[in-house]
Amino acid sequence: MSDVSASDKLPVEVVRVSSIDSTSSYLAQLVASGARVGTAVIAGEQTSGRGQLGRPWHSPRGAFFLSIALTGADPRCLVFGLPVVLARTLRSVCNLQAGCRWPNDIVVDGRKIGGVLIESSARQSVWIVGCGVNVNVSEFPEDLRGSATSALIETGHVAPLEGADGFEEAFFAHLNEFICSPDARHLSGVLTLWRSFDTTAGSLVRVRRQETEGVVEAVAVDGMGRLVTKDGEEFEVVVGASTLEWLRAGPAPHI
Amino acid sequence: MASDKIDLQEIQQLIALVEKYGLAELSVSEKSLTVTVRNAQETVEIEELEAAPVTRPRAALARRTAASAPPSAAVQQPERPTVPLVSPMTGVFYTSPSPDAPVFVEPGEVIRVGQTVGLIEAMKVFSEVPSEISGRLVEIRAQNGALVQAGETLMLVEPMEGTEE
Repeated sequence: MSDVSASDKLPVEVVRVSSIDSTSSYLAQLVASGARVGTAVIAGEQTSGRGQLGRPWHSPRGAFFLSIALTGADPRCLVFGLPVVLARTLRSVCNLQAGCRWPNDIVVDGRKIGGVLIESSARQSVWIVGCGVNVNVSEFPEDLRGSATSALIETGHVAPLEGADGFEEAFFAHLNEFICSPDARHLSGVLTLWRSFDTTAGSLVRVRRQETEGVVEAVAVDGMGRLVTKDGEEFEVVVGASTLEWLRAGPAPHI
Repeated sequence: MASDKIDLQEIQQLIALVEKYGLAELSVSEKSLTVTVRNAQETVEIEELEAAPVTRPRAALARRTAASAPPSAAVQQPERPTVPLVSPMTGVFYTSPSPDAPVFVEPGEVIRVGQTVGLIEAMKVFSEVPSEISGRLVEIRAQNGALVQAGETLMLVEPMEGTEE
């Protein structure tokens, strides 16, 4: 799935900044200027972190902010693969039972602890993969308290972000493991892996489409990576995740 | 009209008929040309069924209608061929990079190959939609926030030769 060969350990280069508006915006500029695939930007703080559609992402110090340029003919392999990498990192570093929620959220007990945002770049098949994980965030604005959490809030312990036992080192170890695994080569393999972390089924979700909206139950994720929802007796396949608001969590994963 | 060329005298006769009988609209078609004289909207439309340019006759019409009083007439541009810009994938189409940001492009704007004209989100992957043609954007067919299918027409573009940045 990647033209970063197995011998190219990720990251091939790290640009480290104390504070930046957005790691993804900065990396997109670097990629447009010729930065190599596998280049990562890591920031201690984002002043204008972006969520979907350019919406602000709460980006205080203590969180893990990273963007990395990766390739792939099918970006869905990254959409579903990177949350698994981040969930594994949270499990190994913070001893948290982190799971995934369609398509690219990382959750603990239904509350979002991290997310992945993937955007096209100026170069064909090169994707800007932005990751944000609330590792050592001590509190959230009131409007986010019900839906967001952090490793610090869940465990009561500060986890190291850097160093040999830190979050960053563990993330790259899990990322390299994923990139090199046979599962990562095809969407079916990535989805099989992702399903073992999935908490989506059983969730309630509000779907907004232009002037209409409705609450439906998330039932499953199909073989194309699409969300299958149920409204009464009617099933529907959802592709656009930007139209969703998660209301009730599904069951925790069993691994 | 015995040929494909527009005869000013015949146009004058049509206008006279509209005036004389108080008609709202009169259309005459022959071969590849249709001439419509509308009294209410004060327009003269010339529809070219074939792709041949009609620059000179239109200019002549403009002079004629400017000089003539009721019904006054303006020349509308004949419809030009447009090329559809289609969605490269199934997903939610957005006309701007964020809800508060200006739209990528607007109808009437000249766009060039590679210019971002929209954004499509599928499974939280946000892909910019680059234009594959240079020309004037005539219409944005897909609505902001709407689900579009792969291959569905997003916009119509009137190709322009030699359009440069």
